[in-house]
Amino acid sequence: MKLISMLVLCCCFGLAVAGGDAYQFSNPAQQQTFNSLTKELRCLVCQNQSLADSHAELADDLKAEIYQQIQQGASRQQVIDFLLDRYGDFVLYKPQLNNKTYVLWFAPFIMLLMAGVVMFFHIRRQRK
Amino acid sequence: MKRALYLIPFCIIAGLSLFLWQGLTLQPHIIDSPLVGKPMPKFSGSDLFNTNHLITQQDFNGQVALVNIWATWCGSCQMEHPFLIKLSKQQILPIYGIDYKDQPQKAQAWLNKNENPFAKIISDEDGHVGIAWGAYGTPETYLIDKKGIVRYKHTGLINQQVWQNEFLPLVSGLQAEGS
Repeated sequence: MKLISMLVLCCCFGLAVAGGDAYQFSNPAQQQTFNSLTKELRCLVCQNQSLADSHAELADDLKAEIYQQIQQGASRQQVIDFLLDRYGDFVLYKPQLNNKTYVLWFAPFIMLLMAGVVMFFHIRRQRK
Repeated sequence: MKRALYLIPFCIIAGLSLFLWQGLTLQPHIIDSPLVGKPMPKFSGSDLFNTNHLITQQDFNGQVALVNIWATWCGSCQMEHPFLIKLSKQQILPIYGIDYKDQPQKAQAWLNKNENPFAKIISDEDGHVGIAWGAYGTPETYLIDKKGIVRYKHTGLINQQVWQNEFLPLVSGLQAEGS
């Protein structure tokens, strides 16, 4: 009897975690857009969480807003622009590629390249 | 010559260190508002003291003003309140309020009890006006000019120091501008 009630409890836990999706779309493409967007957008209150994960009130409000917009046919970029206009670049987890962020995106590769070049000459010199 | 090349990684690391050192002084919780420099957002919400009456961005136009986002549940807003009262009595500029995600009766009662510094107040129960303004943590205050352009935003409470150091220098200049 105890075993059965334990099993039921464990199943309830699983359900409780999975049942968080209040935002259902009849259109699977829209659902996909919503799900991926809310994972890529930062919760501005709990700043280390995405909108999808956060239960802050602002996160819920923004999810409701995004849900409405996608329902009314907004594209992924339109939703992103809506949030960027009001909250700025910080709301995106992945920084956009523009003049301000070229250094951010390419510096690691450039440094790796330079390290490779230095190593190449160093090893060549040692071989001589 | 080859020896000098080894200076390059050193310079890069030195430069990076300076960047990161400066980063230690930044406050990520304070986000720069993209609204600064642009016309204030379009919004529409009911007047807190007259729910049949709608207030929109048109009603905030025409004067240099403060737009303050606050709520009765927000402790910092309550701490900021006495300063807003003081400021409103100096009659330098109108203060417009957005009562964010609050209960109208609570807000009305609170203002009746503690004096009302606001020339106009919107009751923004569901927070859609707050989202239009990019609000994420009350109190937040925006400075708008005569043409309705957002010129400055302060996140966090305003006190005498913040007012004098951050707002006052802008206000006189903006008030001198033509409309």
